[in-house]
Amino acid sequence: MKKIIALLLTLSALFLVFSACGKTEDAAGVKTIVVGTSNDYPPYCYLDANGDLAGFEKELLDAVDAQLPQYKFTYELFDFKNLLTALDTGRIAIAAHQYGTNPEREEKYLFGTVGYFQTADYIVVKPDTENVAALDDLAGKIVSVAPACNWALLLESYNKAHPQNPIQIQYYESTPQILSSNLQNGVIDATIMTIADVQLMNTMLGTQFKTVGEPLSTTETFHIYRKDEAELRQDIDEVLQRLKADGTIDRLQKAALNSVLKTK
Amino acid sequence: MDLSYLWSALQAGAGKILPTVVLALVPFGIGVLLGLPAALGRYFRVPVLKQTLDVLVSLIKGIPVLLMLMAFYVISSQSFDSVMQSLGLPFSFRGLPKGLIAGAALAVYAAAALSEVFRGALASVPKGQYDAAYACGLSKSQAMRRIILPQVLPVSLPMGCNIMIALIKSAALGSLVSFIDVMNAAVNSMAASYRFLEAYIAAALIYWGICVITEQLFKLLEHHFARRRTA
Repeated sequence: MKKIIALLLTLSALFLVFSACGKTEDAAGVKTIVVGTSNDYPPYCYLDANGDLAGFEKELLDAVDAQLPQYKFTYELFDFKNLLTALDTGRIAIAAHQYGTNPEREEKYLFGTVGYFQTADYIVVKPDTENVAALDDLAGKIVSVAPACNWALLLESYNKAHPQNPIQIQYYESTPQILSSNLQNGVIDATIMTIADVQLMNTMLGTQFKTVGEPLSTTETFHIYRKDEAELRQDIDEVLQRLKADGTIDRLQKAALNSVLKTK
Repeated sequence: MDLSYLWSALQAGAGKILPTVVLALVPFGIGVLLGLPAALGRYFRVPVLKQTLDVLVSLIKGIPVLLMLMAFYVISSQSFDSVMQSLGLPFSFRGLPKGLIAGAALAVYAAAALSEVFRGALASVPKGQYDAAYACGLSKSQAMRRIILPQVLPVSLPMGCNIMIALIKSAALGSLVSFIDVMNAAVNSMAASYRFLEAYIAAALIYWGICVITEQLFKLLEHHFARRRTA
């Protein structure tokens, strides 16, 4: 019994040590902030030819960091679904991965107040598809999206409202190559993406997928913090506000997209 | 950690227990059907068959199940339709339940793993048993059916149970080919709230429950055989 208690204590001590990792302060008073992101969502976050983290998320936070002498940002990479768990346990202090917000999420996390990217989500089909312009046209058809993302949520809620003729949701967790070949071969009928995602996929993979109809939703993306990090959020949001006003965000965003398109 | 989210993730995950168990059980059955003859062929050194199986088993054992799954998916997505067309069958990859792809990959793994289990169990039967059987005038196949196999099967149960549990856990890889199992159902149910930690804990609890029950069932089988043996 004693051994078990000792083991538990050791484990919780380790946990505490890890908890402290998201934020550390050096002698000069500069706080190191660990930012969590992933490496598989170009042009937002990906690895460049040298295997280093690149993309809009990092570019933007680097620009923020340059104006905040009291902080030093470092980056750590996680799988998308594990990012927020890393935030929970304190391994990272900021999660940056094109997060959209909703009331359920705000219950648990602190979202930035400055949206740093606007996205519009569209139904995406192959070029010769006709008669698809809205979600209703996809009833009974196979639509593939990544699990646990906003679009999955959108489709699930459509199906809840239309139980008689639901959309067949097929979750894919493999590569964009497989998604695109499935769409091309008619294995699936449609997917949902942002305009930038479609543009990127068409350029990278040589496909000619098109967006149809009105955007299903427009979302702004935000950084995510733990509930007790209001000060960090305020410091970052003030800089973001300035960068937004002077057009820096716009410029970085276009540059990020272009640099991905160019390498192809 | 929020218990109400944990509870709804548990419910979402529990809804997929049946498909998950089927995805493990069917490949296990196929694995037994293929693995036992394969083990016999290798143990009794049937020429050509033994060498072929040796290479195959070592190949399959050396490839991660995950990779096999992806390979099966990509291969079938590219050639399933043309094969079906040339056979004149009305099936298409579009309508193919993706669980079948996951099942096929797991069955291949199960066959290789179980053939190793049976081979070990065969080796545990002493030579004297064969001699005694032949001395009683049994033919080779009679000796196999009446003397050797009834001793092989109970010995292979504990390891077989391990393989079954490995298969249940591998079912979670099915999400790569759009198959929704316990874990992915739980994770998907938390998309709105980003409570992934709760989802993972819920899935872990369910898997643990399934595996405990599986272990108990195998133990029951073991007791059953043990009683018959001493009776």
